[in-house]
Amino acid sequence: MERILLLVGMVFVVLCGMSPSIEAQKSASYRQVVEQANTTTIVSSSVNPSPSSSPAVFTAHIIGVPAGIPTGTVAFSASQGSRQIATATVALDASGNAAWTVSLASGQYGITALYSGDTDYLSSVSSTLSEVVGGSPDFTISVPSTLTVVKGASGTAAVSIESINGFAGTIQLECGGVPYDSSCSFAQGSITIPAASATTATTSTSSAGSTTLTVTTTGTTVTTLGILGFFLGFGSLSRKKSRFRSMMWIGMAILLAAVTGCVGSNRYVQSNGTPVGYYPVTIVATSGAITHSSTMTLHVIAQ
Amino acid sequence: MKIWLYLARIMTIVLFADCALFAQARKQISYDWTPDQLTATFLQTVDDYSLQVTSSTLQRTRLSGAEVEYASRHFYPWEVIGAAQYSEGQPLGQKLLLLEAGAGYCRTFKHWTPFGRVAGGVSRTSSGDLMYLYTGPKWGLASTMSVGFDFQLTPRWGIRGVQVQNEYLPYGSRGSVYWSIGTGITYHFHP
Repeated sequence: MERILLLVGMVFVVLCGMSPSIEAQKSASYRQVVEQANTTTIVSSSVNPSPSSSPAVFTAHIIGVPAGIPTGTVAFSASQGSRQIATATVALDASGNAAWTVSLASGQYGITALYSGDTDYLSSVSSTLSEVVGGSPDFTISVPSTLTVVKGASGTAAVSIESINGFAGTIQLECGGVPYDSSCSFAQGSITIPAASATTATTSTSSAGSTTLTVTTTGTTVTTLGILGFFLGFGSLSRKKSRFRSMMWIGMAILLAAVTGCVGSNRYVQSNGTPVGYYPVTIVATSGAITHSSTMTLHVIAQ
Repeated sequence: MKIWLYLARIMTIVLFADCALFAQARKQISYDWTPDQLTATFLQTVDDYSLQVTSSTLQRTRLSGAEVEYASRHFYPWEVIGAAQYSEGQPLGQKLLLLEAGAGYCRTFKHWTPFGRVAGGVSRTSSGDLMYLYTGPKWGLASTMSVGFDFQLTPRWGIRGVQVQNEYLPYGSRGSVYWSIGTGITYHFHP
């Protein structure tokens, strides 16, 4: 056994000391550059929409590419439009998750998570999660109960929109039910409620927009259509000899006109305009799938 | 004897004269049968005025009424007439009153008497709905022209077969022309 070990040692010494090529390979070195890996940040909500009575829990999950478990922190942010409502920084656990528990007032929020990165992983930001707290975003429309307009004149009424639960968007307004020979229009056919002014973290309902409804009625008018040649043919009466004959011709013409129905063409057309009375006018507000209406009584009074 | 013969001749002459006088009187009554006439006519009048009910529907104003007319035929075949007419109807609740006098021409052919007349007078109209944009009753001068014929049933009574009347009224910015058609009864005032 000792002989065998001695033999192996001798061979090793000989090989190491007498082979130049093997010595050259040994002296070269590799420089390995390891870059930080990409990450993907996913933010999710425990429940959406969430009740306003209990805190909402948002979880950020950081996925390393290639697979791995990043370390570091996640900065959560809850905002409404450009307004930041709440923020928090939470450290990742061993699974690469970070949970943020926060109490938010009723409204609609945009939740984002920003991963800070570490020595091995790059930072990343999640897409915005739309979180509704305390119910769906909605709006209300309100108009005066009665609008009194003198026939032939116009009247205006204020139409106001209130945002609920952070509603933001464009609301189309329409009106209907106005009586004959009248019209209604809005100063603005649509109202856009920006997200920043929709609501605050402490108020679920706020006055978001308003416009003016104008109801225009029409008075009594008379249109003159033309002139009839009533005295046509009477010139022939000046000739004494043919007086009787002219009268007979006129009589025949009148009888013929009466029989054929050619008499009595319209000369005047009267339009009585908007009838006096009470009319329910409906104002309809639509935004996407949300539609609300409100009814106002239009009272048209005589001129 | 000569006296009796003389008296007989006188009686004969008297009798002939009497017959001749009576005969002349009967003939004169028959030829100058032109008594004054009173006529009551039921009229339907069509205005040249319409109400716009909807954007595409016009409703013409139509009136119903009556006319009482007295015709003096002292200058037959010419006649002098006086008439009063009242009508009312819908839409717009128009009421129309005509008071007029005029002259006419008529000829009697057995039982038939066609006529033609021209008359002038005053008229009054009113409505409950701003017709012609008048807020109250409106008076004005009016003229009418009418033709028609009468039919004699008995020496006193007859019918007005038809009467077509054109009425020129001063209402509206350019005047108005109404048309009436009617029928009625006639009464002759014999002496």
